[in-house]
Amino acid sequence: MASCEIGGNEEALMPKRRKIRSRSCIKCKGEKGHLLVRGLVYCKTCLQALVVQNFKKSINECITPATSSSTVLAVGYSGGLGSTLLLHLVAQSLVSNSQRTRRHRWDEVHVIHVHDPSIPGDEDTLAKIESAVAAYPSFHLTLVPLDQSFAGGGYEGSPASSLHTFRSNMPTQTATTDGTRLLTRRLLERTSKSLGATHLLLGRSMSSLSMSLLSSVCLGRGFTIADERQSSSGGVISFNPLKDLGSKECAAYAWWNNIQVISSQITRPSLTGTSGEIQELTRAFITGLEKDYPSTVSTIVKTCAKVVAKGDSESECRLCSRRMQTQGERASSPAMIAITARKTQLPVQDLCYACETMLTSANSKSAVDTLPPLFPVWALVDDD
Amino acid sequence: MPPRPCQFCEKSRAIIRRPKTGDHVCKECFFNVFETEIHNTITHAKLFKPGDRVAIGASGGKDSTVLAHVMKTLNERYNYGLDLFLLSIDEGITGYRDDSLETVKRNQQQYDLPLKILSYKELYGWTMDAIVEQVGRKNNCTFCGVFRRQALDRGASSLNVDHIVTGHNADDIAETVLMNIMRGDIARLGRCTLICTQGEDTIRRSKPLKYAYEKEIVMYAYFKKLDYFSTECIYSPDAYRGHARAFLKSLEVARPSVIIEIIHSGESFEVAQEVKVKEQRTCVRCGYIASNELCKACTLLEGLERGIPQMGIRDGKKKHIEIEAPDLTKEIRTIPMFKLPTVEKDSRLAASSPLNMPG
Repeated sequence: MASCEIGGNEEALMPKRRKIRSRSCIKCKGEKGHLLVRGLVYCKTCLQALVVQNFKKSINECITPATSSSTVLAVGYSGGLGSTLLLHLVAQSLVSNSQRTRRHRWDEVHVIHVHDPSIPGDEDTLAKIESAVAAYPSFHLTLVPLDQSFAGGGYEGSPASSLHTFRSNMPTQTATTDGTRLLTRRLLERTSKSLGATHLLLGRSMSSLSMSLLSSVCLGRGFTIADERQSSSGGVISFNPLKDLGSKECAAYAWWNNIQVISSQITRPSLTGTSGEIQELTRAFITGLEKDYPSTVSTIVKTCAKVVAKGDSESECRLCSRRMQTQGERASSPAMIAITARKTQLPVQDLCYACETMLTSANSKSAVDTLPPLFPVWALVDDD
Repeated sequence: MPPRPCQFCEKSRAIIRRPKTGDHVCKECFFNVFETEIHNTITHAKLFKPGDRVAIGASGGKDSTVLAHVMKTLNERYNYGLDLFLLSIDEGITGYRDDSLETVKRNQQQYDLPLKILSYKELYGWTMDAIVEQVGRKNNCTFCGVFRRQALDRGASSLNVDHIVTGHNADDIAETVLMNIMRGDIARLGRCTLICTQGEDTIRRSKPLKYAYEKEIVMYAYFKKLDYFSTECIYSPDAYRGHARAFLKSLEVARPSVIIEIIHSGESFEVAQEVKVKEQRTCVRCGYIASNELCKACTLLEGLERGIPQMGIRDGKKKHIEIEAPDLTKEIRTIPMFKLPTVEKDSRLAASSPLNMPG
């Protein structure tokens, strides 16, 4: 039935690569081009200016001057390409003394790094993170262990063992990765709030944002798709100032400015690299698209920017802390989707569709009798 | 290892692991849950009312054959009170549609349902074979898609039916959501997950198999020994859908519920209000719904008739392909005026008080 007209009266072919018409820079017209970005040729100077300009534009869009009276800014830092570039741009554009006349000034910048002590070599990575942030003397580094999500939850054993149980009780590898990302995001937001920040900057580029968006769609998180771009949690607005820059521009800028990226050296054998998880498959898919059809990646980001949640429900999911549809507001009832013999009773109510699915949806490799999920502390008490 | 019992009846031996849920089920319980889910879809969405005349879009493939079988079964089991018809479109593709239409003709006998076959040749004066001969393989799916949509509505109109049901399954819809995100088709992204679509001047179209997995449709057809034709169209390259499909299949292995998750995502968001969606008009030449003065089918047909098939086809994102000024004095074949079925008007008057389905 796939050849039927559903959604496609017109020829549905992948967009063609644009032909390169000139070898000189599209901006200054004079210099010889150094990099090809989605069919356009840029010289080194113009591309670097473009990166800075795009960053500032995003900042101005998301932080209005009225809210810039607060002087605390939080920056999420993983050690990857995007967040490393983000630190550099924040240091250069938002806090340097020469830029004091600009409308956004931050007296305190907190760099937050969420790390997983259970990963072998975590201590070495932390040393590299500390040294990288030390290059910006005005930045304060806050290290947050991932297992902090379970500290004070009244669970038996250490928070580290609770984190281990949280992961091992997940029915699929996809759910483990989804859960780990969810914990990381929540820890970033909660730490930003506790530090008194009003804004949290994340280092996702157009490429990594399109991976997050597509993964979110595949994980059933369509209702909160807009939150992947910009969200507000507990009074902290988080957004991605590099959302208009592809990984190619980011990598070229980092290379030309000799910015050291750490996370390519981090190995996470237990978390990534298997083709058995949706996030990894999406990453591979987007990377392939970016190579062959670069404009499709920006189209994904633009398309997702044009959709909004259907309905105005104000209920919040206890686990992901984002808005959720109630059972009645969902377009389809469980009985029409799938009648199943298994009945899973979750110990915590008020979960969104995607979080419920994360905790219950199995695959052929899942254990027959899954253990009940473990919840982070914020899902057990109303603390936000 | 002893045989595993069915997780539903706990008596018979389980012979299927349901792709959708992972449940181990016996054959009879599989038939039962598969059909009941479709029944639940129909009743929850209030797709029909007693007395509706419903055409099943039948291609002879697995989806439409299963749809015809299930619709007939449910209509009898739950007393829907529907008059069912089979409606087939003959695109004129030698070696593909001629063979699949033979299957539809056998289905007509097997299910004892009236069959209407409408051909592109009869309606537009062109078969797909002739179109491909003129336009080549690059843009032929544009012609086929546009022509089929209109042909189905015209066939339904001639049968005087309220409603067309098509065999689009959950995999098709999930693929379409991904595809529309990838190509930035906001308007279609907003409506591709709707179970039922109806504009002011169109016949209702529904997808009762919206939540049925392709794998389960194949299993159902196999275990029910249904007579269907299983060859892909010989002219269909559809690179975009191919990309989305390959991606979806790999995701399904990682977590089978991903298909439902994608549909759920598509159902949960809508087009932001500030995005402009084009207003619907009526074609001045044939009376069918259109976005411009002429509907897409009239534009494409005029291009074929005048020997300039590029007419109405876009190259890339925005630009129309430049063509030489056509000879407007030449007499060309046009599509007959479209009329909505009379029963449709009556049903709209009654639609203010829809009845719930029994069961």
